Order: sequence, then C-alpha cells, then structure tokens
Amino acid sequence: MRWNREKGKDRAPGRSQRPYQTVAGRTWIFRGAHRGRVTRKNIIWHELIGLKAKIIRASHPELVGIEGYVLDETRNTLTIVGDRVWTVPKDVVEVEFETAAGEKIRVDGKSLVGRPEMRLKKRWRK
Amino acid sequence: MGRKWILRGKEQREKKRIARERVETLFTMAERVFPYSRELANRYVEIALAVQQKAKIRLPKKWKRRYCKKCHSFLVPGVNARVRLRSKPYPHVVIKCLECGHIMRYPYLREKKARRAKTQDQGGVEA
Ligand SMILES: [Zn+2]
Repeated sequence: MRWNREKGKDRAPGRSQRPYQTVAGRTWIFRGAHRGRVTRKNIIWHELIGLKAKIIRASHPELVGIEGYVLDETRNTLTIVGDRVWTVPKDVVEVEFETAAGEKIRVDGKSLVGRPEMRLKKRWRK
Repeated sequence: MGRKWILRGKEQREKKRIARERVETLFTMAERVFPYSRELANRYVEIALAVQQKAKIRLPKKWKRRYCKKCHSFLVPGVNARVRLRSKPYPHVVIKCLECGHIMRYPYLREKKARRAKTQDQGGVEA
C-alpha cells in the first residue's frame, strides 16, 4: 500500500508535525465536509476524518475535554484539531463523535484501533 | 446456508456504500484543506485510494481526474496542474501534474459527439 517509499513520505512514527500546524485554529474548513451517513452501528467502518470529536474519558487526565475535528488517523492515534493540534491514542480513550446530522455517538476507542482503510475489513456485526 | 449467503451479500453492499461515502468525504476534505496544507490533502487522497482499493469500488467520475496517477497528489488546475485541450490526433484533455511532471491524457470524443448531435438537433428545429 506504500507508493512513494523512496521519498520517505511514510506514515510511520516520527512523521513531521508540520502539515497539521497550518490548519490549527481554522476548524471552519471542515464544517459540513463530511458526506457520509454515520450511525451508531456503522461508525466503526466509517470515516472518522472530518467528524467532530470530544474526548469524554481517558486514562490520562490531560486528554479529557479535548474537542475539535478529526484531522488524521493512524493505526493507534487520532489527530484532533481545535485551537491547537492534539494527537490522542485510541485505545485509552472514550470519544463522543458528532455526525453531520447532529447525532452524538459515544464510542470506546478500543473498537476503533486499526488503520483507516483496514477498519473497513473488520468483522461485520458479530 | 442460503440465509448466510444472503446476509453476506447484504454486508458487501453495505460496505461498498460506506466505502463510497468515505471516498467522497476524503476527496471533499482534500479540496477544502488544499490551500492550507498540501501534504494533508495528499494524505487524504492516499487514504481515499486505499479505501477504494480495499473495497473494490469505482472512483467517482468527479474525483477521477483530481489526483496524479503517479505521485498521488491532489491536483487543482491553475495551482499545481495544467489542463489543456488538444484535438490533433484525437480530441483529448491533457493534464500535467506540476508536482512531478507526469502527464495524463483523457479522450473527450464522446462529449464532442454528444455536443455535435445536440447542435444538429437544434439546427434541425430551427430549419
Ligand atoms: Zn504527480
């Protein structure tokens, strides 16, 4: 799945933080950008990028209360942008997403672990 | 056993629908984010293509020509892509990615034919 390996643009750890900084504080860019019909049932397979998110519970007290739009996603982290950019590990938090329709969905971050394109392959309705 | 297969078909359709929505969302986001961070726009294209390949769906026509087939960067005509019409061997659109110099050609004979038929129809009505 890696196309430009030689250019080193891998999403491996240690990737530069630079692409995110120019978007910090400009959350209006993402308003209404999400085109999916996300529901409680299908959020595990759906796109998280572009959704509004709020951290409700976390093992690390500093993370609680972070609010903003999901900007990027890796296997184990979510990057959330509000007035600044946070990178939050998925497996220790509980997130409340707000869909375009205004529905609020609470998800345990553990069920969201996996690369964005791999989440689509997760088991369907166990 | 039949029931199982029906369920599996349903699952596949649902997944493809979700995948289509995801691709649409990601490309829309790439377009929005492009003026502020090209890297991020390219990242969204990368995820969208990965989702498209995994789910085995077609890329929507709207977005098909909006990324470079070689370096997978998001293209905006006039900013990092050059779009020209050429009619010499056969009518086609030439899109050049200014990030890597890759050239993509798309025929537009069908559109041209449709247009010709349309104008002829109009001429017929007038005459
Ligand atoms: Zn290119």
